[in-house]
Amino acid sequence: MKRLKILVVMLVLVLSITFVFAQAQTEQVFPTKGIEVLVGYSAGGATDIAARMVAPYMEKELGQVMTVINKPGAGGEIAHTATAAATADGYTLGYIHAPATISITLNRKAAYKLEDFVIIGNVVYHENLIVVPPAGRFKTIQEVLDFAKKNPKVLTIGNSGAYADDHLASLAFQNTVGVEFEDTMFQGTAPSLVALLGGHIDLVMCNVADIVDKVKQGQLIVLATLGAERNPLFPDSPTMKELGYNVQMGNYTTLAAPAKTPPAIVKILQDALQKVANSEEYVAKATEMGLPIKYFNAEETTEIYEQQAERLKELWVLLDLPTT
Amino acid sequence: MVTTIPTLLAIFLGSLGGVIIGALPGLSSTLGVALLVPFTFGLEPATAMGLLAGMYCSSIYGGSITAILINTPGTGAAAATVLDGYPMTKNGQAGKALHTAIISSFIGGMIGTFALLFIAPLLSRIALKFGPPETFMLSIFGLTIIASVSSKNMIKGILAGLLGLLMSTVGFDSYTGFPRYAFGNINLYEGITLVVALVGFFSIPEALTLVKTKQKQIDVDIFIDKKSSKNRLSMKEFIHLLPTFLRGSVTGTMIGIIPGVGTPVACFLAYNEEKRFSKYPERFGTGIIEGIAAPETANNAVEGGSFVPLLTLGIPGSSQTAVYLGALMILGIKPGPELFTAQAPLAYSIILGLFFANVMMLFIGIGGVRFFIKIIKMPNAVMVPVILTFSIIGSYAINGNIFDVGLMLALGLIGYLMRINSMPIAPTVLALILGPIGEVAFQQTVSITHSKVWMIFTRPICIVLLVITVLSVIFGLRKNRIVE
Repeated sequence: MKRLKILVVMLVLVLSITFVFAQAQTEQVFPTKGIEVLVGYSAGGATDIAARMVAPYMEKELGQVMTVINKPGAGGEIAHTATAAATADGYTLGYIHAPATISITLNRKAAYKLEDFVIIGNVVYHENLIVVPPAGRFKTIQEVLDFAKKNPKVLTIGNSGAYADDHLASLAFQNTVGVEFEDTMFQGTAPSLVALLGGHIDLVMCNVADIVDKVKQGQLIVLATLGAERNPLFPDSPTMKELGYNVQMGNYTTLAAPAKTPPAIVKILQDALQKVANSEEYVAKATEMGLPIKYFNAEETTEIYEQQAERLKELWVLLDLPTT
Repeated sequence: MVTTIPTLLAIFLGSLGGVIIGALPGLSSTLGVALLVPFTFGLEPATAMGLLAGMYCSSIYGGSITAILINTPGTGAAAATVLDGYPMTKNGQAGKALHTAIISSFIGGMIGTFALLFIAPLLSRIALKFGPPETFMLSIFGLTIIASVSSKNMIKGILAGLLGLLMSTVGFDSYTGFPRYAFGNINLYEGITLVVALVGFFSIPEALTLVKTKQKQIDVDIFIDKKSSKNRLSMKEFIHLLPTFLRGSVTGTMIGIIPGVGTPVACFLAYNEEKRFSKYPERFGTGIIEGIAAPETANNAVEGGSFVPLLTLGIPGSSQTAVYLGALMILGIKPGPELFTAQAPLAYSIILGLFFANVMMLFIGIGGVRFFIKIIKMPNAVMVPVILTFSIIGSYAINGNIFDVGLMLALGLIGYLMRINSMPIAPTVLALILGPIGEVAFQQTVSITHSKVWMIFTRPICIVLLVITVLSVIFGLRKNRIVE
């Protein structure tokens, strides 16, 4: 009997140990093959550059190849739809954006929902700001506001495309501050900056990375940022919050997986991205490239997206923006 | 800095890759440059720039090879080259056509780069004068080219142009964000991709026509005989083309500096100008060297021009230079007004890289002619599947989207129907290229003039463009009457 008992105990022990090991192994089993990351914009764009910079560091953490695949089209919707519908095994990931990924679902009947994604972590964040050429008629944001309050719809403000992040930032700005601009749509930030430098428009709403070098070289000045606090790159430019207007807008680039991906696998990916984000080499490389990396972990990012979704929904109703 | 062995090797490899990328339909020069960017990590700046310059220059040229030999423009830059390039091949002058293309590309590239080197600051001031109203007027002027690419029947040409304009309205409205004529299909939200349309409109009808026609006994030896005058550009012809080279280069450089207009527009404008200056405009489209020289000079001159806003303002004016900007930033080069002062050696090494890339392209192009030309020795039974395979792979490769393959085949069918009804395809393509440029510029013009659109005629460049548009229409109608 005693021997039998010992045998049973040992068997249970062995079994449980193998079970634990087996579990440990299934966890380590991911990833066993290359991972694909879908990017909703063409090769060479801002998201693509970020994705291709992150990939080699993720490869180092995960021990597998990470391939960036460009699926441009429909303002990112094609890639978002493909990511949402991909087999939820952790081998297909995608980059999503706030506000763009959310605003698509408000603007039209999209084939995906925000709930179709589980967030791995945020990679890039930069706030919106308003720029003018230094030789122009406005030197401070106050001058712009004073003029615009007296002359509604006279000042033209360029953005990177209808209902894209910069346009939404401009609309939110006008609504909060109580001014009216004429929004001029361009196809990307570059042409809007050319029009600004050529004196064809008065202001441009864009993001930090678009203009850092141009501010340093004295081509543009930042009148105000829509960030939470002053950006150390532009210490003299006030935030709108400081001026008493609660309008904060920016652009997030976030790594995400299909919502049904097993939590254990999601955890592995989240941990890997966190390690990458904390590595000095990665930070140095991004700084060298002028990429505004800003890591937020999965919980923080999820909260940001939920808040953004709320705020955008309000904005859509408030401004009666188009829905199809 | 530029003349080190690794740099020259990099330029060579970039150029070789560029010719291939350019020749394959669907693989664009933008994609080629983007694919090379990761390889520039850790390279010396001059070497990295050489690699990219080689790719950029040669991929623009490469598109002309398939355009001339198999009526398939591999890139938008070769869309105008097919007009006379393929007829020359059919006339048994493929070798001469290829030689004209490479020599024109080289000269255009060199003149464009010279302009960048010597008058970049001046050009950049002109670029800034070009606002949305000027771009709008330019696209209207561009549409008058329909008259000159309509071959014989003006009515059919205008109909073909209207079809192209209609097709160009598919996709997001740039002001409301509403996806027009997409029928809820997200693959149509961003409109019809130009290269998908080019491949469909040119190669599918060609393949179908080849299936229909009984193979002629082509005297293969003619193409291989190096001494035959049909295979090379004679000195007399070269001298005859000198004014063409100059005009094409000026057109290309000027269009290059204007952000957002693009290489295909430059090619059609150059083709049109050439026809206008010609003593025998009626022979355009039947396979003459000017019809290749003008667009091929222009498309390579665009390169130098497109670097002007990038290097002087730090703002890319085209998709290729946008990718270049990414590469420059990775290398720690900050383009902008300080580039020519604070980082002058770097600025000049970029420009020198372009010079060497053009020279390398010339060698590869000239050397390659006798290899490329073997394509036309293929029997139709092989040629047709090859064209179809390239068309399908190419249209898939652009966006990695299988929908585009179906779209390409559908457009191919439309193109075939147009061809058998002798409706010219070039106006459709031209309108498809100019439609979105003009429409966006018009909406911007309405916005910045606060709906007082007539205000654009207070702008000198707009008035000039209006005058040449009117002249171009009158000229087109008169020529047409003479032909009739």
